[in-house]
Amino acid sequence: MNPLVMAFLLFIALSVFCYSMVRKIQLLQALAPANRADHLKTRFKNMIILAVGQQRLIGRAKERSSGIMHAFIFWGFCILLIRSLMLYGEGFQKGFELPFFGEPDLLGYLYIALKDLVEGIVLVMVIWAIYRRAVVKPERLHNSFKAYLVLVLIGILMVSDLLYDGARFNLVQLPNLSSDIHIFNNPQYGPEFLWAPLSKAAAALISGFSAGTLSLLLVVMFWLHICTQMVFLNILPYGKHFHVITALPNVFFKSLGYPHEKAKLLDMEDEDAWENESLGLNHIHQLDWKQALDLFTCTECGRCKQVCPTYATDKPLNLYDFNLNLRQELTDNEAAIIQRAKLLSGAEQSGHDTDTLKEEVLALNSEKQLVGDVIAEDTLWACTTCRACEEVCPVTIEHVPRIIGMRQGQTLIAQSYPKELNPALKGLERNGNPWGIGYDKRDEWAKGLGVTKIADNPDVEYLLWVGCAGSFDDRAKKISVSLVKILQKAGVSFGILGVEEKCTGDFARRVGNEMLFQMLAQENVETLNGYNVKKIIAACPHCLNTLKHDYPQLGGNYQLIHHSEFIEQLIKEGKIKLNQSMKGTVTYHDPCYLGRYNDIYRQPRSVLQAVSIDEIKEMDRSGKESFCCGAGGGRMWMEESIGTKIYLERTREILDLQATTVAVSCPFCLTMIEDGIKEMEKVDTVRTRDIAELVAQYMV
Amino acid sequence: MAKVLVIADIKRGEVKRSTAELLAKARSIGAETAAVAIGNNLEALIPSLVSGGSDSQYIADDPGLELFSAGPYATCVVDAASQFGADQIWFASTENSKAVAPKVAARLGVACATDITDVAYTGDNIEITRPAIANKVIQRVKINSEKLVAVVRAGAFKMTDESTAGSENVIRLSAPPTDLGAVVKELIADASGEIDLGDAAIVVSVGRGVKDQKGIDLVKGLADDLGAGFGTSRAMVDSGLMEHNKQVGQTGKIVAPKLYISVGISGAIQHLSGMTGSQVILAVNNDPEAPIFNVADYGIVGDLFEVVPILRQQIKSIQR
Repeated sequence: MNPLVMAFLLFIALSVFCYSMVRKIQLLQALAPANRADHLKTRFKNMIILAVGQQRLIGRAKERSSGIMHAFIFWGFCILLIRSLMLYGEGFQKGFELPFFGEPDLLGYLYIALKDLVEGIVLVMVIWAIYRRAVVKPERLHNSFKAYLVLVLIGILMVSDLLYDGARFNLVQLPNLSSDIHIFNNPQYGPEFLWAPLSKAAAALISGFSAGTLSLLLVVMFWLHICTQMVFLNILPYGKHFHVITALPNVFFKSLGYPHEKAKLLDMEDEDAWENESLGLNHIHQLDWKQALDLFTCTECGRCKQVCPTYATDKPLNLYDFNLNLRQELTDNEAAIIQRAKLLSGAEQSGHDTDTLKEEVLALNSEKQLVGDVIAEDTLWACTTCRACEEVCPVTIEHVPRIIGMRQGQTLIAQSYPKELNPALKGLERNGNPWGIGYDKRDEWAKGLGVTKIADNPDVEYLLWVGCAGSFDDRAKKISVSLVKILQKAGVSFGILGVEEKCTGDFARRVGNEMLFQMLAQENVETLNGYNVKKIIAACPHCLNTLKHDYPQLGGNYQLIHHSEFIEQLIKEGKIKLNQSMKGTVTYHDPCYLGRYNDIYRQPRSVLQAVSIDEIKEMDRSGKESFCCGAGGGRMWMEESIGTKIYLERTREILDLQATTVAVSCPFCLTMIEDGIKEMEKVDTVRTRDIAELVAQYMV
Repeated sequence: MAKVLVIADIKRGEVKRSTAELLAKARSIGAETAAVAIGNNLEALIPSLVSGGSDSQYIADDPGLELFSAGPYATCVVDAASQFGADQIWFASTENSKAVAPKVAARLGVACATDITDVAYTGDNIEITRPAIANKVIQRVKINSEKLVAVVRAGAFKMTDESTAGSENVIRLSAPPTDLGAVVKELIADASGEIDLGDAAIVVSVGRGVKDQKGIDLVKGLADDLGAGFGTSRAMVDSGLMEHNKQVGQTGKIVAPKLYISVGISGAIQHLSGMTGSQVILAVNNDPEAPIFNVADYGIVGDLFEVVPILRQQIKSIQR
């Protein structure tokens, strides 16, 4: 078309884009490190499945239609990238052809057909998207000018290209036109427009135009397309559409293995860290680069808040705003954060003591308190750490570690946390259980059951980790007793620690009391390693999760088996025989720390099916999208004084199913749901049971 | 003969029972006793200090002492202690005494022991007993100074039948200068006039078993008859029938009264952890399997709507 104009436009667009990107990259570099460069093969696989494959958009039964819409737009963009290269080439040189995509190649024709189809599909999707935003207005979406702008820009891209081709097709067919318009027209495959029905239709639409008008239209559409692309590119880094660039790397760098990044093992002896307030997340500059990339990648789709139990019950935690507020704070402090990193690395390189820079560095702190000004305290403490948000996030944003980080800062540095936690924390400190019951009473539940103490016989194969609830709570003791009966019946060699067992520190860690967590964990690891424990059975998912995923950080490596897994195995092996005679509608409530945290969904259901004649009826929110009972993340030990109650919301869902038995496999879920059923005055019609209780009941 | 000065625990214009308990203990170890009362308009309280068992009464009566302030209060105690020549100075365990006792000890240059449950002389040495590490161990501590300031754990010293009155010998103390470090301007108290759960010697709590407001009123009547604090369980707060400031339990108030009466509470562990420190627990519940009976000293299995009226009737007849 015009190489000079093309070069000029490209230069401007790329310069501005590079400037934006360099700032963002500098910011990421200036933030705390995070090692996300391991297991490249797995990372690549994740990226292909989750990002390129759009798994969480089209793989979710809920909201599949909008997921498909997005996937088509995304895939369409990928396909149309080649077309863009062709057009940029055309800008420099008339009749430009990409290798293998040229006139003599079948591939070139096939691509034209595909491109034509894709542009049509993307156009339809964009119109649908605009209609959805403007008319349907799904609750989770926030309408903004930018959201519409981007959709309109995409629409313009499609329409301009179709009209450009339309004009081109019309012009070459005009007789006597010494045109230098080029179309593919190879004798074997015929003229280009035969392969591009949509462009042909566009041509038909403007067939009445004169040659002059068509020529003008061709030029206008071409440059409109190019300029729109450049504008599009340059608004990406400033808003939710940055995900177009960051989503792939963000998914690539997602945490692996454990469902998300573990809570950081803080060095409690590091005096500088206490002084610099760098234990936990106290200031925006303490985010690590991946956490910042998460913020940049947030697409504002609102799925996180839609599945959040706190949002559903009118708590102030709205992950949509949570992300946006953090992102705003990060952007506001961009220059200061980069400056801080420069100062510190400069001092380090020249060997100066960074202490001399203290004042200067301190002056670069944000004026806003991270918790208080940017994120309200009630917001921070509302989270039940259920991870429903992380499980649905299409771009794998990790919300919970950030929340735990901020809680660490609040608990350790600011010493500002809900005061209702104090009795429970004190109980952990003094008696190793949140209720503060005398530690010497921990094994009273087992009296008369003939349970071996590990101290008496360290050669038993399995350690049964009872947990605080199973040891002290009268209701949960029934689970422990049932489990012991099952294990004894199956002839399993097992023992308990008895009074030597202490709380694993799960809730201490989730509320940010890293000090207390480490204290308890170290003591437990010492005890467990002292007895050379290898395999542990636990009925409490919170104990299981902490022993399995948190203890390796402190030198405790054990094989953890949840009682649902173990019982399923015993049934399979024929060591436990059941009278499959439980009648009535039964449903199963997935505990977050068993399901989403440890990927155990199938086993408890399989156990349940072995006792129940009737089919298990699933709740609408089950499996990966199970709805929290409200007790996780230390919420068991706090008052739920804002909004409605999470446990009642869940109970309502159970009651709606007309279930007569609701099975759980977590003592805390059991408490919450049973309380809910009592509250709704349905105790006589619905019973809440741990799967171990049911198995013990129907065992023959 | 040792001389023991007891600081009168005055609340809402009354000398609390703990003052007489401390005086009785002092007399039982053969000490000469004195009480110091600090506040405003104390004249009416002198007889109860005498009948409580003090041989002399030091009175710091001044409008400036109306509101508690640790500095001036400590000055008054030091003044009384010097005039009396006290060997030991005893406080009942309150928030205020925890603030004053260390100040007094520091000014007199003597030892300070808190949360003690017993005190005795072994030869010339004072020896105190106190629980430590959440009551897991009992410490016996020999005091190295000749004199002692002690804060006595609530209920540690008991009145005995032999507890006798003292004699009236009033010594008036001059008002101390205002504490410039901090001036208490106003005390904002719970205006409801209800008995504070933490303070109450008896607590009556209602649970889900009462069903509705009518049930609550019934049990509230029992609490009123006994002059007891009125508490509840989480379920009642969740259902909106009771206020959260009445909640006893893990995430509410932790109470340890002399008598805890639980009515219609099944006794989930979250509730138990807030009240098992009570000296005597009476539970009323229609479910004999309710876990509350595991911690109760006395249990009544029955419908609370039948049991509570009988209880009230019986209590009234005893009170008469």
